[in-house]
Order: sequence, then structure tokens, then C-alpha cells
Amino acid sequence: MDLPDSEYKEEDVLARASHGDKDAFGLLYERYTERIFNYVYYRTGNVHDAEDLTARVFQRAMNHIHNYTDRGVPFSAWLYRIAHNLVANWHRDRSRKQEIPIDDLPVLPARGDHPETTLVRTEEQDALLRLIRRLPPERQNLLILKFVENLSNAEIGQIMGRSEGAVKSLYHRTLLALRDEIGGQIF
Amino acid sequence: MPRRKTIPPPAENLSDIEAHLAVTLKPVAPPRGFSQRLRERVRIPEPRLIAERIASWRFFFVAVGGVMSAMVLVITVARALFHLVGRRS
Repeated sequence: MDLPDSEYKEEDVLARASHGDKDAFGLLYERYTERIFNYVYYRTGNVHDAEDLTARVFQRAMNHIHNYTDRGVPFSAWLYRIAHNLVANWHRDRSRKQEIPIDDLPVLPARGDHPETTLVRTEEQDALLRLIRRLPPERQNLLILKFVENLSNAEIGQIMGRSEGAVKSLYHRTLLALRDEIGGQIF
Repeated sequence: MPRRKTIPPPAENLSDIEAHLAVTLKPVAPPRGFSQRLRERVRIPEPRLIAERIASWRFFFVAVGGVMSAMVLVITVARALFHLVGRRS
């Protein structure tokens, strides 16, 4: 249920959820499920695993929400950290198995588009996605949080446990690394 | 000591890359039925049920509050009458 912002007070909802109120947890789920799905989808490049991992993120969050304490770190940052850990485990397990190339995977319609919309990813976009997925995990996180989630450097810093300046610097270095990798081959 | 000259990175290239990233990394809509499947798996109540429960809580508080207010009013009037009648007698 998407309550209007005026009625949704995250502190209250979190307090209720941490005391085992499943309805309150349902409100948090409604608010964050798509964001977490997007993050996991771009980190894994796989719709089915993204769905499975998103479910696991919320299962883990529900089991451990009593441990969550607001120390200036927003709840979303706590969720993203759970997602990050699960994705890291997924990559570790998967490194032993054969990897499916990203361009063989289905493309999901952009948020707000009709579900039946068929999207075609261009070769450029596929190539760029492959390059992004070759970056170190923290750089992938940064790009996903910045472009997919549209978060500010300060918000990304809270999620990644870095200062705003450090995020800005990492972002700049990531762009330079991408530019060097691309080397004019796809643009 | 000679001052080291730093060569600024070509900003145009970086803004090109940013533009391509913005096109490539777009928020996606989860597959159909995703939310329902996850709810069942995580065992989260349906939004409709949550809304009904919240509405029933509200109704419960309003009803209890109304009854309590009415009782206080009745007791106050009764006490006032009792004092008035008591003085006269």
C-alpha cells in the first residue's frame, strides 16, 4: 500500500516493524521493493535471479529488522547493504558456474512504460553494460545508485559508507576508467 | 620548486559517457506478478488487508474515544445534578 507522504512517517513505521508488526513491514516493502529489484537486476543482469535475490533481501530484512537502529543511516541504506552482500555471494557462487552473456537476457521495459512494451537494447548499450559489469563492485554500485536510483552523492555516500567527496572522486575516476576502456570503440 | 601542471580531463568526453550512461541505466519495471509472488514468498500481508486493518484501528480508536467522552459527560452532569439536589435538600 502506497500511503501518501503526509501519512507515511518512516520512523513510526520502522518502530512498529521492528516490534514484529508485519503490516508495518508491508509498508516498507511497498516503498522499497522496486528500488531494490532495480539495483539487483543491474548488478546481476538476470531477471529471475534479481527476483529471487530481492525476495531474499526482504526475508533477511524482516528477520533482522529488530537489529536495525537509526544512527544517521537511512533504512534504504541498510536495505541496499543487505542487497549488496547477497549480490556479492551470488557472484561468488556463480564464478564457479558458466556465465550467461547479458545480451542473451530479456530486456525489461523502463519504469512507467506499458508492460507489453518491447524494448530493444542497442549494441552500444549492450557494450556499455558489459563494460559496467566488468568494473569493480563498488563502482558498479555507484553508477547504479546514481543513474538508476537517481540518488545524490551524499545519499550514495550514506549507502556506501563513504564521504560525499569520496563518492564524487570515485565517480570521476569511474568515468575516466570507462572512457579509457571504451577507447572510441563503441561511441 | 616548479609548479606541476595538471592537465584537466576532456570534460566533453566525460559528459558524452554520462549521457550514454543515463540512456543505458534506466529504472526498469519488474516483471508482471513480481510483487504478488514476492509477497507470498516473504509472507507480507496484502496492501488491501493492511488498509482494512488500519481503517478498523482508526474506527476502533474513534469508537472507544467517543464512548469514553460520552461517559465522562454523563458522569459530570450526574455529579452536577447530585450537588445541586443535595444542597437544596
